[in-house]
Amino acid sequence: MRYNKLSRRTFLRGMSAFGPVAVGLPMLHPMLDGNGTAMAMGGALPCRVGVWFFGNGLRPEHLFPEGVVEQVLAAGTPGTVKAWDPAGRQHTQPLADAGVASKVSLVTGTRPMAFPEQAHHDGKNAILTGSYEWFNGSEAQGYAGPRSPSFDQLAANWFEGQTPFKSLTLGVQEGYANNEPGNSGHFTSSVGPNQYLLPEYSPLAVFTRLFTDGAPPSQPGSPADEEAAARMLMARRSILDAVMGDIQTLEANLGTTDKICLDQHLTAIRQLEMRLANGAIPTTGSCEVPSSAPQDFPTLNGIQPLRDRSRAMSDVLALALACDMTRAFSYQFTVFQTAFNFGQEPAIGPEIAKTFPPDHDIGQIEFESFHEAAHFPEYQEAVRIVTNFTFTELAYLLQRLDEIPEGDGTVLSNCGIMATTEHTEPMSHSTESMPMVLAGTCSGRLRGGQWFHGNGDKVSKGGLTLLRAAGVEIERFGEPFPQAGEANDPSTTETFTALEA
Amino acid sequence: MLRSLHLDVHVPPLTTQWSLALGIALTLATGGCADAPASGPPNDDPPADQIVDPSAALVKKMRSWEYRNTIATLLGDAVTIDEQWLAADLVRANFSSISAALDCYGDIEVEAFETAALDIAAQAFATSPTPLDKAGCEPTGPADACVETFLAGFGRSAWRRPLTEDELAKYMSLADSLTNTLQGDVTKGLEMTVAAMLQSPYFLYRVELGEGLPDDPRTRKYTSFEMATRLAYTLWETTPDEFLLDAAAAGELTTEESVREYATVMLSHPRADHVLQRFWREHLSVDRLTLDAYPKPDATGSLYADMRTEGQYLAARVTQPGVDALDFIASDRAFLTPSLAAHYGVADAIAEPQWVDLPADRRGYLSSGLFLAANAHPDKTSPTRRGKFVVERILCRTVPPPPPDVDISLPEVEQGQRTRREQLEMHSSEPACFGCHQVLDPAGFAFEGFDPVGAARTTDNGLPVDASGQFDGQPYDGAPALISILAASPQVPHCLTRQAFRNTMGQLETPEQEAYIDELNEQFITSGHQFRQLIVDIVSSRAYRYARRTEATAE
Repeated sequence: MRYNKLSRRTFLRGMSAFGPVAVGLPMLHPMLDGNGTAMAMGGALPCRVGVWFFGNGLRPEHLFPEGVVEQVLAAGTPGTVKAWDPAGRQHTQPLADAGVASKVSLVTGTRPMAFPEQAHHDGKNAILTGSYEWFNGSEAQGYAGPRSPSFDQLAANWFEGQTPFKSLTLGVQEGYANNEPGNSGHFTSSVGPNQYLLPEYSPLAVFTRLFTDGAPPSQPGSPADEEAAARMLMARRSILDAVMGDIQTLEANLGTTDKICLDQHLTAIRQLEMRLANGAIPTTGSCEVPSSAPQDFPTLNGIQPLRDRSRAMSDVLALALACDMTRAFSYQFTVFQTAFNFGQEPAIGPEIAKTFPPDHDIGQIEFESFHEAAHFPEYQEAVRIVTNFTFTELAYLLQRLDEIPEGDGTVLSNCGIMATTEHTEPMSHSTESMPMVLAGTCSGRLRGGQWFHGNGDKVSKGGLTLLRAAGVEIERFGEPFPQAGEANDPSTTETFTALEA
Repeated sequence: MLRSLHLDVHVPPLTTQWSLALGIALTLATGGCADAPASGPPNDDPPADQIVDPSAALVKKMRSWEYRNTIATLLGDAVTIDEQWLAADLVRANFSSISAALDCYGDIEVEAFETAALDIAAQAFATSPTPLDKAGCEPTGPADACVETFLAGFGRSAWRRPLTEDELAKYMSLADSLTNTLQGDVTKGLEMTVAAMLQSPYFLYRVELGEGLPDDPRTRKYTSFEMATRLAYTLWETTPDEFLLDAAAAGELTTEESVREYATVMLSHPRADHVLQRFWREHLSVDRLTLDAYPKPDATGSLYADMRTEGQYLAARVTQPGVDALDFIASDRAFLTPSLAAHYGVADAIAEPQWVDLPADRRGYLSSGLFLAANAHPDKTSPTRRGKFVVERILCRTVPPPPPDVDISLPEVEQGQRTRREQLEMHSSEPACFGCHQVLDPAGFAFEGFDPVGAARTTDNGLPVDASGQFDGQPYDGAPALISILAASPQVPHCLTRQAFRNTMGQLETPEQEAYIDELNEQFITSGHQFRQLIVDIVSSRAYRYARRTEATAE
């Protein structure tokens, strides 16, 4: 099954990459109170925290509400909030089409606060981690990365142990920043100084890891087979216990940097052990696991089918969230500093080709790197088309999440997802007025349908807004950078209160 | 696909014969000290204050090929490693060794290591001789002395050091419990215990923490077993074999002289050739020239493959004993296929791949297609990129990134109006751009006589090419003239020493470590730029043999 042969409508009827998915009782249902609106044990429904990242900016005039591009507020003005409808602007129209307008809000007018700025890097680090780059004492040597954890991983730490997977880190476009394996800014999720979590790019592999590995065979075997399998499971758990003991002994002798790696290792083993102990995934309601695995969309001859792969991945992610497999995720749609040839994407390639000026000097081949082409005025039409495409795929995920009922809303109602990028627009790489879309109302704690325009406000407030809304107890998001002065501190202890319900 | 970044090539296995040969060589070299008494050779530790800022003691992960080699050294070549178990290797600051020191295993990798360990242990116990056969005993039950012998022996090989008493007791108890779980099958219990040891951090990481010096516990010295591990991974990219572990047990590898002797002999094994060449392949980005990474209208997959082959032969040549490593930029010969020779304008056609004399306009790596194509736009040259590579990679100078909000587009051009160079010069005269371009472009204009895939050209945009310029105050015209200036520059060997130091240490140098690099560079010059000698000098230096305590390392 290939998506591009199917109408958009097909998907609205609950088809997915691996056939029909039951959209019935949510997995959390048994834990809800009598009204189905809160947890039986007390407290509101959990809010999942996610980041949906795309590379290299957008066309502000196709995202920002009318007039905001030029809008400069008087000094000291804390920002303005107004009702917002994503319809009518090209980039956000797909969100309106997906029927999620009341569950998304727009933020504009924010800054990374970094000085002096490094193109790409400061915007990405500030919005995802609330920190400056991490230089390892050597900032000029292509070494820099995140300084502190990204907000999705702070949520993952908070929710650890409550779900089978601490977090999912998913990716669609495979590759590296600016095509350089040594470049610093590749990935979306970070867990500490210069420590990334690599994305998983195969929807099939993610599905298998989530729903197949560790689960008992679906067909019962002979009693002897079942006993042998049970003994093997027990043996594996004893081994994992021994390994966890070794890690803890070793950790006691390590410095902070090494501890980050060993902590991650320990968490991974602990999760695996927990899943082996718990056995099969609950398969009731909307968590019914499809009998057939999703279709994979691998890179063939250097061509990556982004739309097909992204939709299959979105289906798997929606299922994972419906089944409460994790409460934190990152979704890297395109890579930071996007070195990608969108001319090869079947969904938009022909349309892009038509926008190239007939006798342009740069040559169509230059579009092999979106990042490079996007620097030039001749390619701004292509940037518009690519970004419309990007938002269409974001809308696909949000719509899938909104189709799954949960409590008195949907899974999307119980998410706080930030869709964002590393700078405002690609021609100048400016980080003035950095934008983000906040999707989901985080179990009623965030307002949808709003547009908040900051007045040079810290971009990191977005991450802290989601974390606090999800109940993560955290005083400060990010790390101050005293060397740059207080006025350029990218970290924050404040949220976008105008967007809080 | 990221997976294609696995850079490994087939390397010869370590053999018993090899260890015997090594033993003989070392016996000769050390006057029969290979079986030194347990007290070890005399200690040559300097006062701690003379060990200038060594690297932080770290655990390092294994690169994918190191995991494969390690399993082969430990359990034999017959064990099959599934590609799916191993994640893509990354590079940091151009070197995979720095990524291995800096990056963590992700949770997906950790889960895969569980699958791998169970599978590998099962394969090893299903293939004769099994690890138990090699131990030379057959356990009759979990309390059998054979169990202890086996676990102590396998543990030392897998963890690269003897197990402590507590560790041995813990794993004997695990073997006992696994045997019970598995209905009394002691062989199966030991197989699963092996699978546990292969998941332990002591196997999956190189744990090299050192021991505090008596006069300064903050300054740490790598133990003989840790040195065996460091040398084995640095020079052979695998775990230390039994011979190296025996040497460590005998207290070898704790003096500069001993390390120098072992390293010299280890480098004479063919396995080391691949490791030495890997430095050059990563340093000069040999394996990265692919159509996926550098699509160009005038490039083909086979042309790029021929260019990579040229680079691999270059890497092999400059790592040979007796060859001046600076030949990498100065050489007037290259290993070319017939089509690449034609592409380069070699006058006499050749029938098969061979070493040939380069035409007068080409010298060494900086006029190879590898360099010229990877540092150009798809359909235009880039003096800036070519210059940046020379300035940063060959001379180790640092260049600031372009500031944001700068218009980096070049002025409009009409056919025949301006050359690429003239456009670039207009752009670079802008005050915001001048700072960087005055550093980068003068080293890049020399290559304007080569098009974006490295073929010679005389015109650009219909106008004659101008490949003249000034670099560091010295005028040149054309690539060979600039290359001559570089070949005479003391910064080139110094930078090469620095890059080799980074790759060998798995880190970027700290400011305090500059003194080591200066000293190593002097030795490198004295040796006539012998690359193997440079590596021996690095691994026997104090920078490599000592560590700095990290803030939380327990004493």
